Amino acid sequence: MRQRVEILKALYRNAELLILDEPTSVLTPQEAEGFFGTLQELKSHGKTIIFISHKLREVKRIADRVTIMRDARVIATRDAGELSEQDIAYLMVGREISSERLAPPRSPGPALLSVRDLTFVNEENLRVLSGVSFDVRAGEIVGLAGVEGNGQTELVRILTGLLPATSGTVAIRGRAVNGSSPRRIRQAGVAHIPEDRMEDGAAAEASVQENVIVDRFYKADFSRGLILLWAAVARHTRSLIERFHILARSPRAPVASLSGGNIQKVVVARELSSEPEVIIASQPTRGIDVGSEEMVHNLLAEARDRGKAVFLASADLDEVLKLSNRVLVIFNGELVAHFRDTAGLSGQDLGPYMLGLKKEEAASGEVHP
Amino acid sequence: MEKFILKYFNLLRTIIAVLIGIVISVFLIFLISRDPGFSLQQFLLGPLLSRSRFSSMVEMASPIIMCGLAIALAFQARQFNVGAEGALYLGAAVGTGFAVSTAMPGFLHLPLTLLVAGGVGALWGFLPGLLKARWRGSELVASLLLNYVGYYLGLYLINFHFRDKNAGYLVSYQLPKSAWLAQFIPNTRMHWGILLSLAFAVLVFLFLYHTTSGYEIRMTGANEKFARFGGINVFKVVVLSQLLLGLLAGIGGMSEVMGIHRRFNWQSSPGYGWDGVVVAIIGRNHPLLIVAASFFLAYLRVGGQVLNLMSDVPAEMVTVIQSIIILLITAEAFLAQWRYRITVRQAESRGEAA
Repeated sequence: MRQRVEILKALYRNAELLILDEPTSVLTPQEAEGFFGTLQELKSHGKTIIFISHKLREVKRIADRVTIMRDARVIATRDAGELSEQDIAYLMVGREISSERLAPPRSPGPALLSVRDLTFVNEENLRVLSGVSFDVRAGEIVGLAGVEGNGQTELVRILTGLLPATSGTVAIRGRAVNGSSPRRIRQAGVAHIPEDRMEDGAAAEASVQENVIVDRFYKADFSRGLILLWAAVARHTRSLIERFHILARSPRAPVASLSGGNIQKVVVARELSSEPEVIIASQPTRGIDVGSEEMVHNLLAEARDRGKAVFLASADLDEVLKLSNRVLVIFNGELVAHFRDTAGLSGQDLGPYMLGLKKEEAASGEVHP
Repeated sequence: MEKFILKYFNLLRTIIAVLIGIVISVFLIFLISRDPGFSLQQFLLGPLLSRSRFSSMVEMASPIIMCGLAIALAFQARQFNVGAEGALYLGAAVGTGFAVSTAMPGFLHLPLTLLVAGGVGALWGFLPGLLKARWRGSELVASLLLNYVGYYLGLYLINFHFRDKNAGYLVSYQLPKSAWLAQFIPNTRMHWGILLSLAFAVLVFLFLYHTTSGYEIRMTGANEKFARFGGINVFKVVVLSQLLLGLLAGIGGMSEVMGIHRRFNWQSSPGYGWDGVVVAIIGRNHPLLIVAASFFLAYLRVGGQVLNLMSDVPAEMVTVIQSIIILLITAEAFLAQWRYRITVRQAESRGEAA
């Protein structure tokens, strides 16, 4: 809806050229379809549209001509008909990208993250979350699908100690962590990939090494009493840069000098190298290149295969479907669907729930052994 | 060459700003003075030519350094506390009260007096810190207002409790000798307080860049949400950074009293706390640059005094000149276009090479 208003505003000012930067990130598949219809209509009226997206399917769906950029350079401009999704991905990263599902059936372990009856009422007295309950077990990825702004942000912030819940409980490995500080929750074994890397995930003007130690600088590896051991920090940072293929000149390079994908790699490197048992990832690949995206996906799948519990909140349905063993859908602060099996599940199945058109009675993501 | 410019951009920019400021001052002096050559010489070289003027430049830099360091500690945590003036004034007043009403050997009296002044200053920094951390009260407003409270409270203490009625003017009793910071160069007023300031500059540098607390302060300043996200106790950082501000300002004010007049003789607030804000901004909150900035400011001030005494240029003009220079230095976007063009050219040439 908001997108349409923006476009109307542009047309009202007699725009002939529309530049749309990732316009579908807040739309459900059904809404996106309608939106594409609008764009086709504008095209038939002779308008020019530049559609910037990292979702290959949308580009194929809507574009007549495609220009692919990599590392600040134009790699190719072709008619869309000449290129398959695979071709585009290949040109974007310079190598083959797999879009296979990474959710093979396996038998998960005990619940490491348990949420019961979580409710949150915000400062404006609006009910943002009501009665949310679910489990995430060792060795599974649970996806949370939903249009942005339906309580996902608050849910993730509550799980990671950044926001106090109004009522309900959160337990990590069986221990209640309600009201604990973010540091306590991290010490209980939680890692958090935040939805906005520049807001929560990183300090732009600080260096890479300062960014990767924010959760561990006080530990014996990096400090003696009050003294920070920069040599040890730099060594640690260099090993992370190598292990996670971060393109950074040195550990002392400011994070702001890195590309979005590499900043996200810094965040992911820090969070996944903290030996977590529970990983809470929110929009972990938003706005980053396909190569970095694939890497983040593989890392989350690997963590799952090593028996970690992964909770993945994402507005990107392809991502949720590619990675998740189970999928929850949130609408208006409530869980409205729980898909215990993602085999054969498609975005079209989730859409009606995301829009609030369909609802499972008393949906919850709890599992009972 | 261009690489060199990019690397030292901030330093070069500061130097250019200073030069432009001086050019404008020269222009102004030519407009005003009947003998501009002489006036200019007095302004630029005056502070360096005589032993006593050089000494007054150094001794003036000392409290400015302390206040600059104090302000920088808070600014590094992005806490806009400007309460150094009040902390300095009240700290020195209470410290004076303590020194004149106690008697003990110097090795105790000296540090204890400084500590009392620092403690009172720390309290003055702690109050806005707590208001901010606990109730999100603006530290800027709180510290500004507390400056007045500190000033009048200090004035009251000195005038009604520790005033030397035989002195003939409004000053405190003289401090006992055991609480004097001695001169280390005879026949000048340069006292140990200056070395104390320099030592504190090194300490603050080590604290900010090599300790966990300093790291917490800098990360909170760089991005408070990030700090909270990473598990840093932001409440603690907000309070601690402002408490340390007051501590340093209090010590700075006391060492001035102990090293120069040996009486509390400030009937009006000396303004070092505000100079601290200026040098913290010029020095970009870096302790070692703040030392340089403080000497520069003191040089301008003493040059102004000399100019005022020796030539027909009024002291007001000096303030104008100082303000122009500071304005140019603190304008973030000054010469930014220049840097941008160089960066682009560098990137393009690297692209061709590849």
